Amino acid sequence: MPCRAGRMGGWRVSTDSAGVHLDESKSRVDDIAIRLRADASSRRVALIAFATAIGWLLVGSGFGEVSSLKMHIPDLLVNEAWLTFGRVRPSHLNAMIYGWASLAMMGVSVWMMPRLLHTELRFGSLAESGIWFWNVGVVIGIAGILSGHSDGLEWLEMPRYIAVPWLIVGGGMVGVALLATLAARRAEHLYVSVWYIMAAYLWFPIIFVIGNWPAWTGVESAATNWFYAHNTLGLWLTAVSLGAAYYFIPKVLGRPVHSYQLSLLGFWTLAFFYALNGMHHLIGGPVPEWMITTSIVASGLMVIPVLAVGINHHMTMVGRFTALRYSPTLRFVVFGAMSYTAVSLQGMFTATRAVNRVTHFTQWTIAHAHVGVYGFVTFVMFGSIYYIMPRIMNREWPSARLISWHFWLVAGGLVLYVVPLSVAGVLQGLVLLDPQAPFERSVQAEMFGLVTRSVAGLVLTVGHGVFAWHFWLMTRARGAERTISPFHEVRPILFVAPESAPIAVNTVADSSGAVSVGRGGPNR
Amino acid sequence: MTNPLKWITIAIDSLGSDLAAHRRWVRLLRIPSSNARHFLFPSSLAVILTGLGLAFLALGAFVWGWLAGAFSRLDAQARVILDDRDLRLARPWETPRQRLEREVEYGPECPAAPGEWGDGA
Repeated sequence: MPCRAGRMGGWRVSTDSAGVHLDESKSRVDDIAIRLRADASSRRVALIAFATAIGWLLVGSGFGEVSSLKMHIPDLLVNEAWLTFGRVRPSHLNAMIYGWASLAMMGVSVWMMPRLLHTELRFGSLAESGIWFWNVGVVIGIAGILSGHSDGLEWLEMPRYIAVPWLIVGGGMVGVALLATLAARRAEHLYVSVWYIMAAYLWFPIIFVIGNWPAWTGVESAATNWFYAHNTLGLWLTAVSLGAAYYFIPKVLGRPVHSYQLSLLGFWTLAFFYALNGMHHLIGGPVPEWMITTSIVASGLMVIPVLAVGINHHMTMVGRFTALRYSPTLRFVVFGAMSYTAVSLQGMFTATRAVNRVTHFTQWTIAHAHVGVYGFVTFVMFGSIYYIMPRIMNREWPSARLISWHFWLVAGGLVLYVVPLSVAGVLQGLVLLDPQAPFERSVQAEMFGLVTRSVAGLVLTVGHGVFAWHFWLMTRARGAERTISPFHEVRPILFVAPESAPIAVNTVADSSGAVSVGRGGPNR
Repeated sequence: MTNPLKWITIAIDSLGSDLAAHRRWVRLLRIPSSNARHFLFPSSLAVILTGLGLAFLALGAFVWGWLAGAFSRLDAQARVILDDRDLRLARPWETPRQRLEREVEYGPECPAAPGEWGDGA
């Protein structure tokens, strides 16, 4: 079979006065046209989602840093009620979960699904309206928390009757658009990412409504609260992020996932076992003992999907880890996938009574949550955005150096955050278990972790600033003359920042499938 | 310093506090408070039912997928995200042996011009 070289993804392109001819069969030209139309149909919605998500990332980072500082400088910013810890800390959490992570995931979902289903995004305007509705809900919710109208439930602090309806309607709009796209699919096969993403959009509204349902009181409120909070992590954030990882790792490497059977096993065991995990947060609480035990067993069963995903991703990557030096997408996504395995295994042990006895009510839980939501979800989202934005803007990222800075700042910041805080959490827990020890000693034991966390938070915030600045440059078409991405070049950039990349003009096809001269390739 | 959120607070308060709204809704919906006397599984019925609901949802999707043939031809499913070009382009990070394997499996390798090697990053 001859090698069809060229920027058209193996398509030899020629033009004449009558138009464009591709030296391939009609059906394969159609494949390109379908992909281009799929990309074009989702680009506006995805761009809005990413832009607003990054805005929330910065807002959430600011709240997080202030919250962290208050843990060891308790007199900081105490004169205004809205700046007190009880309001700033939930604002950080909500900005990150509902603002940054959820919106970034919506952008990734909206962009990936038409590609995976070989069709265009249906009801794009509805999805776009949904993104805006969701944003309005988050604004109202965080304003409500800051003004003292928190619902007081972990992960559900946003005012139930004022903010939450916006989120339900907004998320529903995006979900309907994706369901309609699924229904209109032209793809014969449903790739595993489709299962993950669509399941997330079915699971989340159920758990969100259950979590916010006004009937729960007392102990039952605690049970449904943790049912919701943990499932938000497992059935919403994890599901979409794993769907993205299963797409981007094989795509960049150019080889199928190691075992597709294993990927399906991972998905279905997550679907069947995850829902009851949350009760392990109530170990020692006034809930039925069998319920806690069930949750611990369910947490243990998570070893199946976690190992299935971990082994699969590792075996797909094995022998090709050098690729991490070339591809920022791969670097971030693989870091995220490794964090998923780590945080899940850590979570299984933390769910056991023996470990939980020490770590409950300590900083260990905070560190653990950040490995999950940041090390896993956020890193996968960063990697996804690095892949998707050049396809949305039809431009390459302007600076390899900024990408490198971003990676090292957030990766280094995360390690600096997690390791000392985990150690501090264990020390804190051990002191708390000693009935003879005054409470002050537990604070002294964890203090080094609190201070280090503030430093780490600052590093992470700077990293987010670099990313946001680079994103801004991208949207403003800065560095537009650079048609070949620095990380597309055949040389590593992780340790050596390249000089200016060569400029090239190539042939691309537009959203209708017609071919023109411009930047980028249709088959990317 | 003037509280910058004062106007937001006033606006939300004018709509009625969340607690007041909560009480109104509970009354409106006639939602019974969960009480140990009413339930066989005190403080856990909601979680049990919702957990079961999610499990049945997953089971329903699994059965649908099975009947719809979503679990047949898995090899083809695994490759649905990759086209010929994805599979044949030379990757600079691959060893000579890996390149040979790629060539044997997918055909002659396409030389990677600048910017097109991985189609991915």
